[in-house]
Amino acid sequence: MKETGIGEFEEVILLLVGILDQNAYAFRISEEFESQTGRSISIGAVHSALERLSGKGFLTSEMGKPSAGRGGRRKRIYSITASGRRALTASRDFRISLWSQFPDFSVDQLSFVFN
Amino acid sequence: MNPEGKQHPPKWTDRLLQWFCSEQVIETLQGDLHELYIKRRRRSGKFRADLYFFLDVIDVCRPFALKRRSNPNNLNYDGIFQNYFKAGSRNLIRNKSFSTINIFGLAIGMAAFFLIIQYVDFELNYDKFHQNSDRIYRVIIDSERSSSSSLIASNHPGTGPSMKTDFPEVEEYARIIHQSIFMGEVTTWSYIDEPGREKIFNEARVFSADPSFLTMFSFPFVFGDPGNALTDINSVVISQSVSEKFFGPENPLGKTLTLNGRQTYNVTGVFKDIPGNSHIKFDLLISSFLKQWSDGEWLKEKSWVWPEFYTYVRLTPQADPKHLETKLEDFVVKYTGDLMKEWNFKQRFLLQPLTDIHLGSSNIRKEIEVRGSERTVYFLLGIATLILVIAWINYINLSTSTSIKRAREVGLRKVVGASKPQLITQFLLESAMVNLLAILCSFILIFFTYPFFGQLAGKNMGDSLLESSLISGGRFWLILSGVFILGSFLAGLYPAFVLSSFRIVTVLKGKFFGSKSGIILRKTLVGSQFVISVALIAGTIMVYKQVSFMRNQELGYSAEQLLVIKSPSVGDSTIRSRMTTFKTELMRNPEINGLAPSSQIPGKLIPMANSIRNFGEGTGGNVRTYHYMIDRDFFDTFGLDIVAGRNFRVNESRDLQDTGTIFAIMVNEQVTESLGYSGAQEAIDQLVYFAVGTKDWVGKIVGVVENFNQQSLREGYDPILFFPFPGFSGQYITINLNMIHPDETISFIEDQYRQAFPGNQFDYFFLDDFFDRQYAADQQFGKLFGLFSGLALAIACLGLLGLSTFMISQRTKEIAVRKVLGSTIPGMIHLFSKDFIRLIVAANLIALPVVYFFIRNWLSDFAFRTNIGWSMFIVPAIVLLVISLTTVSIQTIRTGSMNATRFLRSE
Repeated sequence: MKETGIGEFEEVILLLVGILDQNAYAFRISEEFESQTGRSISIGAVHSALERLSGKGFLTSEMGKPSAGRGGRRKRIYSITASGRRALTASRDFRISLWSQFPDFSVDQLSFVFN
Repeated sequence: MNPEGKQHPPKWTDRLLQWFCSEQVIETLQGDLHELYIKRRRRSGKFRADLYFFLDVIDVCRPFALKRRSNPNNLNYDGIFQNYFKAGSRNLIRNKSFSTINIFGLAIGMAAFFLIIQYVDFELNYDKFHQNSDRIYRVIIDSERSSSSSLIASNHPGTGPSMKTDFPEVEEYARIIHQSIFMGEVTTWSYIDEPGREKIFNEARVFSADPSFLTMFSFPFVFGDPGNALTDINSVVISQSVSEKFFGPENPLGKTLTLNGRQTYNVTGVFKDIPGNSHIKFDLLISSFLKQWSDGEWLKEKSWVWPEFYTYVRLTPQADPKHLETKLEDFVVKYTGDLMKEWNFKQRFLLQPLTDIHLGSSNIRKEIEVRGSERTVYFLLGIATLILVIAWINYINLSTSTSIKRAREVGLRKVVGASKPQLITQFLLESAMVNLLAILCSFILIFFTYPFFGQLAGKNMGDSLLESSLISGGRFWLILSGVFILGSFLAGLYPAFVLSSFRIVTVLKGKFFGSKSGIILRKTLVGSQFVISVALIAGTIMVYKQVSFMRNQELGYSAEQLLVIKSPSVGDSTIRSRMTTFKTELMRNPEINGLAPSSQIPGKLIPMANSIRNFGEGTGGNVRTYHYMIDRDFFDTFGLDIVAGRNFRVNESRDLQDTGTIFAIMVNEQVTESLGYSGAQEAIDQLVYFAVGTKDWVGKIVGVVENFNQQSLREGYDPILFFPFPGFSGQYITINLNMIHPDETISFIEDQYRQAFPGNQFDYFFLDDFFDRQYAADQQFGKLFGLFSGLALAIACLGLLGLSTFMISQRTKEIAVRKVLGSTIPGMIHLFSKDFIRLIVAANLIALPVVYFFIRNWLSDFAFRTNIGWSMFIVPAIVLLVISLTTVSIQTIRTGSMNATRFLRSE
């Protein structure tokens, strides 16, 4: 059975891929991750997450052009697939539904309980 | 090259990445890592960038990145190997007791083997830590006097310097000489620190050496420069622990130590404590004796007549030592030809390689340190191998005998299509598993027993196995893998063949029994275990017997009540009168029976020796004697009988000055015998020539003393010549106590000593302890031998236990039927142990003659030896009988006393 859910970390990576668009390759993603979240992350972790997300069908990738800073090696540019978008939306909707049930935001129901 | 291009991470890290990374991801991954590297390098420099790059490479070791096995053919084997592994481990877990016996027995065997290997390796690698150890030789003397020849480890003072000038192949020479030649065996060293407190220690390992000694050998220095540490006449270099004793942790260079309260020495160097595997061990090296006399006339006179200097030469890399040795023949004639003619003896100089000194087979006198025995080393190696063999035999026996349990598995595998080679692979894999587990267990055992073993072996081999030379030398891994492979194959191959050759049909029908040839083989194997056990037990008994014989033998004096203290070495001209006071004070104490200063005490080789011959004979009649300078109370104190003549008179001592005088001397029976007198009485009042230094003196034998054991009982009686004391120069004061309140008496003596001889340290020991130190090596050998024989026996017992358990479990039905038919338990014990008893008898018959031969050979080294006796022949048989009968009986009784119907119900 193929896993279709995504975790918090995977969600962030997916979003970053979307944000970076044409620049979405592992090194840039890790830089962006560090600057956006303030947490440090290793290239290995990013690669492994990207690999996993591709395996789940949320990402596709194609090879970019060789570049000098990488010793003539090509980049692998990732982009979100339709099912990736669906997973992101689903994840967001799920959260919103959870938030809506959270007492701070629905005082009425809380008081209802006390009645 | 552009500057950007230079910024590569280290090549090897890249290669590491390429090695494990799969081709699908390597390009992008490597690109990302390089980009990151350049960024980091700009920000935090090369070192950090390199480090983080490496850490990232390690971090990337994740499943997605790893290479996948591409060959689809191999995939099949992965599965089957997993299955083998699973079947094997299930089998191990199912037969818990057999697996434990197997693994534990192997582990003990391997642990013993590795420990012994470590010891052997240590012994074989003496002095190899010196940089040029292959080019350094010791020049020893082969001297021939009246048809008996002997090798002497030390050489004349002139040999080294002359060899360097005469032979171009001698690059450098170095001489070293122990302080006892000039002063006492022990000297007193003192240091006055800043607040003015005095620290006093007695030191025994003090030598004087040429400055070149420190550069020829590679003893590592902590402070100071080995190149010039001994060039000044009053220099001393000390070991780290001596330095800590006197000066604490600080740098002691430039501080002053005082020797015997008289001479002062500047500390010019501190070396690391001499490692355990150096044949020469010293704590202090001083320059003075050698330096002083190398320059002076005095030594020149003695250049070729004073063989007390250990002389080492370093040859050029091209030199051929054999060729040099032949050239040395002319060299000896050139320098000592006249002397040899005059004194009627012959000598040759030989080159002994540095690395041969410790285990050198020939018997060399005046050796600096007790030599190791090559025979002991190889003997222990033999025992180690035997232990391993016993453990492997256990494995073979247990796995073939329990193989019946697995017959069904094999049958089924064959039905499903397993080929014979595949089955063999399976069982070899299992044996590898067991061996691997055993190796792991043995490491745990070694880890805990290593310090204890070092103590037992009496060697400073380092604190743990990891620090030992064996591991760092890399040889260990070779041996380890050797043991593993041999164990897995040798012990695994036969069971693998047995297991894989079961016939499918018979096995699956359930009509399978062990084969006849298998039983014979098992018996042979158990028999050979018995042979080894008998040999080891018998050997242990004899070694213990000889050692305790030597320790309990009458020595001719009562060593256990003789207390020896060091004569004061610090003092002035009043020392002689102080000595008299000391003696009178002590003799007032009723607990003290006698007191005598002397130059020597029993328990070691006497360093002073020369020759004696009958009056009127030529030098051809020279006989070797050792010299003792004694007080006239010596014989009373030691309880030695004067068998003929009389003791020295009070004022008979005279200095050797005038060659015209006749001196009163005493000798022991050994001397009268070698001088050719038929009895002690006959020698009384006879005149002899005796040599001291280079001159002959005339002496009259006034008394003959009974023989006593000067050295260990390995040696015969030494011929000894006694002089009365020429002034006070004894090294030892021996006191005979009646041992009623020894502690109080000793503290009384100490008080008196401190009063009489201030500035000296009071050191004492009992003569029996001192004497028994000579047996330390024999005792250690006995202990090691005993320990490993015990281990071998224990492993063999484990195997026996396993085998008998299994044998009886196979015959439960038989036991039940016999019981039903009226057989008794003793009758069944008799039945089942019959085979074992036969095996034990056979084993004894094979092993004992061999052991007898070896023991005879070993005992022939001892001048005084115990009888071989009967115990050696009886005890091993009894031990083995008891052990095997007990195991068999316990199993039989256990099965036999159960309800017989339980075993018979099923059919």
